[in-house]
Amino acid sequence: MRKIKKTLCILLIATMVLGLAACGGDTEQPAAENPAETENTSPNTETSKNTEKTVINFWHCMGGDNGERIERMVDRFNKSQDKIEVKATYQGSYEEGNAKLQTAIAGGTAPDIAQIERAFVEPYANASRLEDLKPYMEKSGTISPDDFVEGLMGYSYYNDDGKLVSIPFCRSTPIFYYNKDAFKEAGLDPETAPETWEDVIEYANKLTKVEDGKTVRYGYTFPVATWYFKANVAQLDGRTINEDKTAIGFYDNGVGKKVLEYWTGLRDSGVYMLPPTKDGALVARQAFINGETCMFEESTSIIGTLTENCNFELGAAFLPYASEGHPAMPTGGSNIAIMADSKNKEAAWTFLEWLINNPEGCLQFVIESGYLPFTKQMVESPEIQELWANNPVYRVAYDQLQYAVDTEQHQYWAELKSEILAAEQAVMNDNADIDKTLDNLYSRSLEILAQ
Amino acid sequence: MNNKKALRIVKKTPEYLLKTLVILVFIFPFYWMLSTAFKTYAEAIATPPTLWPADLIIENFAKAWNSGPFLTYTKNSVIVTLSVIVIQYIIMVPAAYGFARFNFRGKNLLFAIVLIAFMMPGQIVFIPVYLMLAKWDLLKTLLPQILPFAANAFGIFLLRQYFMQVPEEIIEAAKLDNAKEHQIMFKIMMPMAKSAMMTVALFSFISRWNDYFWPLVMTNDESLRPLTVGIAMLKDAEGIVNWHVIMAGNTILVIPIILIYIFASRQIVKAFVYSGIK
Repeated sequence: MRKIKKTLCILLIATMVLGLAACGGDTEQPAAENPAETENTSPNTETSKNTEKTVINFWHCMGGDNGERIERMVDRFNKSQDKIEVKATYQGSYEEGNAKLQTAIAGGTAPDIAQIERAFVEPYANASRLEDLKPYMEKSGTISPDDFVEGLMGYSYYNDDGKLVSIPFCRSTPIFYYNKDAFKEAGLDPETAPETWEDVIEYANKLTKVEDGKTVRYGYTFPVATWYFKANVAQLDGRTINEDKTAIGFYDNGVGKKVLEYWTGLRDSGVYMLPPTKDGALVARQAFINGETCMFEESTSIIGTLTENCNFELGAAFLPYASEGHPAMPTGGSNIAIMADSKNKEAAWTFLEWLINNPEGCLQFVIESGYLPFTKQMVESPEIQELWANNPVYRVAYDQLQYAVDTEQHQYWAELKSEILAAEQAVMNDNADIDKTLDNLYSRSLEILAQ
Repeated sequence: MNNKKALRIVKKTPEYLLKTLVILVFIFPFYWMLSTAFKTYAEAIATPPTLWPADLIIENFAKAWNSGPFLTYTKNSVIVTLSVIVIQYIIMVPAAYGFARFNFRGKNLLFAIVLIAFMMPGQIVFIPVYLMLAKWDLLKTLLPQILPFAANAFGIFLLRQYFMQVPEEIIEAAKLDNAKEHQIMFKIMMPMAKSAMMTVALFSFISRWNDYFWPLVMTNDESLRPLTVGIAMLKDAEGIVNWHVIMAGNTILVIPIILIYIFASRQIVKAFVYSGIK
C-alpha cells in the first residue's frame, strides 16, 4: 500500500513538472524558429487556393451586438477589394481572449491582428510580441501617430525606444449620467449638472425620496469598481501606481484615504445606492433606467443603451471632482495590434489602415457602437459631427477626454487591480477600517509590483 | 383511526415541505431561463421581475439562432459528443474488464495512473495539449475536442467496480460453454453493467455538451466550434447584455440534455442505488 502511495506521488509530481516544462520550454522558443511547424499550423501563411487571396486572421472579443458590428465592418473591407480576406473570429471575453492569445503565441498559431484589452497590452509589448506600427504609418503617409486622440494613447507606446505597438480601438471612459426629468421634479436646473463632490451630495439629497422610512428613490450611485476609484484618485493628483512603479500612488499622499472617506460618507448619508459586489454595474445601470436612482457613473459605451431604454430625458456631464482637485478620469476598453509573428504584416497593415482611415471602417463601427472616435479625422468627420448634434451626450463623452489620465500601466496591473477592488469592497461592503485596509493594500502593492 | 391518519399527515408534512423546497431550488433556475427566453429586453431587466412574460416573444430564439452559424455549432456539438462517447466505450470497456478480471504485472501501477488521470483538471493540461496538437497540425479539425477525452478514467473506475461484482459462477459457466473472452465481455459483462454504462454515457454527454473552456481554447475558427461557444458569443464584453436572447440560446442548448435525462433517468437512479447497496 505504501509503495503504491509513493509511486502515485512520484507520478503526480512528474506529470505536473512535465506539463509545466512543456509550456515553459515552448514559450521561450519562438515558433518561427521551426519553419516546418509554422508552415503546418500557422493560419498566418494560409491563402485560399481558389482566389489566391491573402488571409488575415483577426481575433476579437466582441460578443452580442458589437460582435455583429465587427463582422459587418470586416465584410465591408472584404468587399472593398479582392486581394485580402480578413477572417474575424470571436475569442471569448477580454480575459479569455488574452489567455487564448498567450497559448496561441506559444503554439505558433497566433493571429495576424488581435484586439487586446488595454491593461493586457504591456506584457505583450515587453515580450516583443507586438509589431511597431510607426514605420508602417511613415511608409503609407496616410496617417501619423499624432493624428490619434491624445487622451486615448495611454496604452500605445512601450519599450524604451517608444514603439507604437497598439492603437485605440473599442475605447470608452466613465461619465456622469443624470435624469433630467427628476432634476425638474426636484426643482433643480436640468441643464446644470453637479460639478464637484459637494454639489453631488447636495443634489443627491434633493433627489432622494423616502416613503414610510423606506428609500424609494436614491440620488446617486456608481459601482464599487476600480475605475471610479482611479478617477477620484486622479482628481486629487494621486496616481494608481506611483511614478517609480514600486507601489500604489495614493497611499503616502493620503489621497486614497480621502477618496474612501468620501465614498463611505456617501454610503452612510443614505442618498447613495450601494450596488452589490456581483454585477454591480448592471444593477446600477438598471436602477438608473428604472428611475430608482437619478444620477450615476458608468461607461460611455452604454450611451446607446441608455438613450434607447430611458423613459426620461438623459443628461450627461463630466465626472464630479473634489473641489480641492480638478476634473480627471481614466479610460477603458481595448486596443488593436499587429502581432510580431504575423507572416502577412503588410496585408495586416492594409486592413488596419483601412479601419483607421476609411469612413466605412472604424468610423462607422464607432457610430453604431458608441465607442469613442479615436482619430482627429474621425472627430472632424461630418458623420460624427451629426451624431453629436443629434445626441449631445456623445459629445460630452469625447470632450471629457481632455482630462484623461491613465497611471496604472504595469505588467502586473491585473493582479494589483483585484487587490484594490478587494480593498474597496472591504471598506464599502464590510465596513472595514480605511487606514488598516490601505496599509494592507500598500504592502501588497509593494510585493506585487516588485515581482 | 382518524387520529392515526392525522398524525401521519403531520409527520409527513416536513418531508413534503422539504421535498418541495428541494424541487423548487432545482427547477426555478430552469424556469427562470425559460421565462426570460420569452421576454422583451425591457421586461427581462425590469424590477420587480415578472414571473411570467407579458407577451411570449418567440423571435428571441430566432435571434439567437441567426446570430452565428448555429447549424454548424450544433453539428459540431453532436459530432464531438457522440464520437467521444463511442470512443470512450471502445477504450473503457476492455480496460475496465482487464482491471477487474485479470491479474498481471504492474496492474496496480497502471490502475494508479488511471486514477491520476481522473484527478487531473483540464486547466493544468490545456497548454501542453494545445502545443502538442498544434505540432501535429490537428487544430483545424474537430479532433482536439475529441482525442483528449478518448479515455474516461471515471468510467474505467466505475465499470471496473461493476465488473468485479459480477459473480464468478456466471463467468465460469460461460467458460464451460466455450465462450471467448470478448464474448464474456460483450455478451455477459456489458449487459449486466447496463445502468453503469448509461450513467457514464450521460455524464460524458453532459460534460462534453456543456464544455466551454476547452473548445474555446482549442478552436480558432468558427467552423469548428460547438454550441456553448456560440452562445457565449451572444454576450457583450462591455455594452448591454441581451439576457433574453442569451436565455433563448441556453434553452436551445439544454433541450437535448433534458430530453436524454428524461429517457435515461430510471437507469441512472438504478446505477446509483445498486452501487450503494453493494
